[in-house]
Amino acid sequence: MKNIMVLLLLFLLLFSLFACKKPTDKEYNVDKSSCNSCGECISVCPKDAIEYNLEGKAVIDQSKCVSCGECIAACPQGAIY
Amino acid sequence: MKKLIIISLFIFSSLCLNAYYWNQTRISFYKSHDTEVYGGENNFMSELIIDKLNFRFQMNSLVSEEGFDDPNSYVTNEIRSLSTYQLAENSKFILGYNLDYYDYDKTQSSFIYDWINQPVQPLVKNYLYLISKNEWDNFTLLAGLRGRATGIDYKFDISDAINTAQAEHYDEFYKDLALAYKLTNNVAIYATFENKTFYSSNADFNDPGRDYDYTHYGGGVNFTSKNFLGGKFSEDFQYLRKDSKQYADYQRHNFINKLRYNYIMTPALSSFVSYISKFSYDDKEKEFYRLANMVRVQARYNLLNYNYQAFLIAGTSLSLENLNRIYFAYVNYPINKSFAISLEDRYSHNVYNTIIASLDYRLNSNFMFYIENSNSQSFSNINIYDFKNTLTIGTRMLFR
Ligand code: SF4
Ligand code: SF4
Repeated sequence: MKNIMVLLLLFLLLFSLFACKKPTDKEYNVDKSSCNSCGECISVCPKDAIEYNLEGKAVIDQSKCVSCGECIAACPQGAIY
Repeated sequence: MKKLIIISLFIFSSLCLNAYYWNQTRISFYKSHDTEVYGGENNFMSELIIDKLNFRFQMNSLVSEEGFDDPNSYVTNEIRSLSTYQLAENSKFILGYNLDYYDYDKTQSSFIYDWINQPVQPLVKNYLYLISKNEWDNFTLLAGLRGRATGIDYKFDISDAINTAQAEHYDEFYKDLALAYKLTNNVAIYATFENKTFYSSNADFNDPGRDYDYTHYGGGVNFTSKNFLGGKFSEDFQYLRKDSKQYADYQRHNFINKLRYNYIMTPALSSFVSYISKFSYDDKEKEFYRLANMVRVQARYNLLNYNYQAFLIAGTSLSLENLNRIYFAYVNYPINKSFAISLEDRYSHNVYNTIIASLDYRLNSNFMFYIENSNSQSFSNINIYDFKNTLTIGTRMLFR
């Protein structure tokens, strides 16, 4: 089981790094395990594209985000990637 | 004054209950090119525990001199409230309400409507949510309803010129559902559903081609092991289908892989590595796209073996697609029973370097006072400031 798991993960890692094309637009996301719900990103986002989800963590609404990157510079936890 | 009365009433009425208070006031100095601006912020948070009810209340006020393009408003008042009611051991209800109020004259034009060249300013934001979490046998069910209403006005009144009706608000309604089933002690499967409907008071903006509705649904598998190659391991793989008129074709079929591995090297040294990768499939172009790859490595070292409050944390987070590199180090050290110092450095490559120093004074186990200074240097034009210094004075109180 462990060996299968390790091989599968290795495959996924290589696949997502090398077999995929990079899109022209950046997509920003929040790492929920690092987000402390401080709201800094919400107050700087010029497109009102961030809100808290069911777990109280910040989530970027990709339908409104314009990839300006302001939230990355504001996040004190480095939780936006 | 009103705020002071509310806070005093809150403290007074709950002195005999289980309660926690936290208050901090910050004075900030920003410098950008030739502009120098002062700003201030006050945060108040309290938590009351009354039997099965947990009530949290938070009030933040932000005021700053004008002169920057950022933040979105120079005068902001935020109220957050969260009530959690434990219905039974495995079932709870959560009711939350957030209110953000912006000073009309001090608020920047922003928000989503400026795509039609009519910059608008937000006036008020209401966010209400109701969540129910239930667990039985091997199932966990999370269901939620969230509603957000944003009151807006136009910064420049050009509507007469183009003869179109103005919008006064836009509203978003979210419906969430997540069901998880534990197959074994280590493996769980889950399904998620989230839908958002967008509505504007201006009929023109409800044009189906411009709407911000979305529906996300999918499922995944989660594996955890307490002894995997000597450490604690968790792996989550999810497929998420995302539908919205605003999404590009390559954003529809998403595959998200998250893994985390914790390892205790010695009793004093522990570490973890986490990796998140997100890729998608464009079924029209028949092509896979990589959206994000993020690695975070972090280690914690206990400086004294008889006191776990003396520690050093250092790590890095690298986001390959967004070229974001962050390095951080944090040290906390109790000098004696009353005083503790901490120092943090957070460096984001080509974006900022922030150094935070703080001194805590603990009068007893129920009262703490702290003073903190944060100094941030910006290297990019994403941050509108070149330099920002924030001095914070705060207290924490616990009543039992
Ligand atoms: S990238 Fe810009 S628009 Fe998108 S969420 Fe962050 S701040 Fe908002
Ligand atoms: S700024 Fe960072 S830590 Fe704060 S709410 Fe946003 S994502 Fe979370």
